[in-house]
Amino acid sequence: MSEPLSRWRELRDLAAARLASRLEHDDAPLAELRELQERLSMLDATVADQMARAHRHRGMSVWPVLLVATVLLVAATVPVRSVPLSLEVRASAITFGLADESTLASQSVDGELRIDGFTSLESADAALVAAAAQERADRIAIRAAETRLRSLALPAGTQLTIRGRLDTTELQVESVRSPVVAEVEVRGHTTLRMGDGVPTPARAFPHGEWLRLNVGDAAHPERVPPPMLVSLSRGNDSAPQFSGLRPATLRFAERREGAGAVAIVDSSIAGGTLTLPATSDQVTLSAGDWLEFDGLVVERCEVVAGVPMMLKLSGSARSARLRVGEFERSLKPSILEYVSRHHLVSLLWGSAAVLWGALAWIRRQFAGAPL
Amino acid sequence: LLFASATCGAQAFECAPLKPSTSRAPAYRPVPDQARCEGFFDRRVSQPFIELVSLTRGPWPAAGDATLSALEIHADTRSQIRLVVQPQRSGPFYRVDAALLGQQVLLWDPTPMLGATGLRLSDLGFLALTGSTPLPGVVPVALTASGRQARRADAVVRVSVPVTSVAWRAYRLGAEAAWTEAPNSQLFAWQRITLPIDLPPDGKELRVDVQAVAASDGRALPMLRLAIVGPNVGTP
Repeated sequence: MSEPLSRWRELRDLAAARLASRLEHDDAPLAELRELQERLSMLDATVADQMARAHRHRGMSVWPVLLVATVLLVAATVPVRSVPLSLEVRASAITFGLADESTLASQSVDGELRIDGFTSLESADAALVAAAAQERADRIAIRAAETRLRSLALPAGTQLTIRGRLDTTELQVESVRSPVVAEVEVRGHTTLRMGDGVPTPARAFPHGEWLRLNVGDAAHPERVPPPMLVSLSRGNDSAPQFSGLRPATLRFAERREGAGAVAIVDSSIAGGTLTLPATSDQVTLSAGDWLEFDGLVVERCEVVAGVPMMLKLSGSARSARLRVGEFERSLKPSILEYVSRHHLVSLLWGSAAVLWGALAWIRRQFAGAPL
Repeated sequence: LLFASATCGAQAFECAPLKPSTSRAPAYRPVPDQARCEGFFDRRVSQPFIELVSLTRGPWPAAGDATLSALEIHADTRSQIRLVVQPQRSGPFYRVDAALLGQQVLLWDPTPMLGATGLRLSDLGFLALTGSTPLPGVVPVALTASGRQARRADAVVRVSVPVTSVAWRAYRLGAEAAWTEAPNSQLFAWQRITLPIDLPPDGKELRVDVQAVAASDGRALPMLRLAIVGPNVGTP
């Protein structure tokens, strides 16, 4: 590129020198001087043109560098859309945001089963239905030789909070749609307490009886039902297990005693580990850390509601945030971090670099030849 | 409502959420050009349970009828139903799902199923399920013309674990519901028992509960609860 330019410069310098030397002689014909001057100005124009072209070439070689820099900058700042994760956490309370309709599977209750917040009670036993209607009960405590929470049907858009206490497991259900339905089965000697009333005399159900507790009206699914609280007593060595939940969001918070008789909301996490296979990061969670997941797609989710509760979850999240003290950070890796961990992607980067080099070389070859 | 059910019928029929068998043929899959899925599937068993495998009314076609090429299956109801045909025995895991319009006759050829499974016709269970009511709604299936008027239905249930007794009751909500202990109801796992249920003459819904006590720990299995849907369900 520079060789033709320097040759043109030499020619131009020669022409300038010749014009100057001829000008010194008085006898030089005017026509010759004019021709020399013309020639010099043409050479000047050519040199200027060549220099402009060289500048343009230099500008073009800057473009790819700029492009790569921009791509790297964007990749380093934009996080990946969804981060795969696997979580094992111990907590005293876990709130699951359930985007789809879900049903909690059958749980045996070792002791008392309390359900608070129902709006209607159905049963094949007319006396039970009448007692609930008379008391206008929204609360029932059941103690039977055999008690089973047969199912708990939750509409789409329910917030389910599971709290593990020493002797009970609490399920708090807050739904935006109706109805929430709890199916209960009892067998043997049974005592029931409806509302604030006195316990009913013990009944014997030798073959068993079912109760269906509805929260909200099935005829008006758009109405927000009152919150429901289900409390299951548990024996010393048994802990209810919930599997098959498909939460879209996860929160770990609970109310604690605060100053001035007003409870404060605090993190419920006792400890655990969060593994992010995308970047092979492992985050150790300590008591009091705040952890939030949104846009979860769950492959596996198992809860053992003992003390503390254990949650094992794997899947991916659109948003994962961890706050330790005052420091909050997103656990989602940037695209750059993500691709830098993947060999397949590094292979692509490598081949792209080689390709770019080859193209640059070919272009230089063509640029060197006269047009 | 009529319009809605007609639209449902026009849409593609959905197979049951089963895992098609990988080891036996024919595997469970949709039958081309028909509202029906049929074949072998794989099964996993978790908690103990009681299940309904058949609910029919009236006599069955003569067992020795070799010329039988198509069963006339009929369910007397106003709703759109799903017919399920499966073995009453614990195996093999072969199943047919078909769309059936209430009060119409579905012709179904049992020969492929009997040939593939080695079962007899009397080993098959027939269920006509409706999606309505909070409970599984079941319509008694008639397999012969005379069965359509029968006043009694035969419910075949089976248990997934050994049980010491089976009891059942048929009732209307708000009325007296007395349990009947089924005779000879000490059952092995997957053994079946037939419960005779009198269908109400008014053709309205009848609730049925079936209860069984596990032999291992003396605790009751989760109840089997269903609603038998008659031709007048949904009318005042």
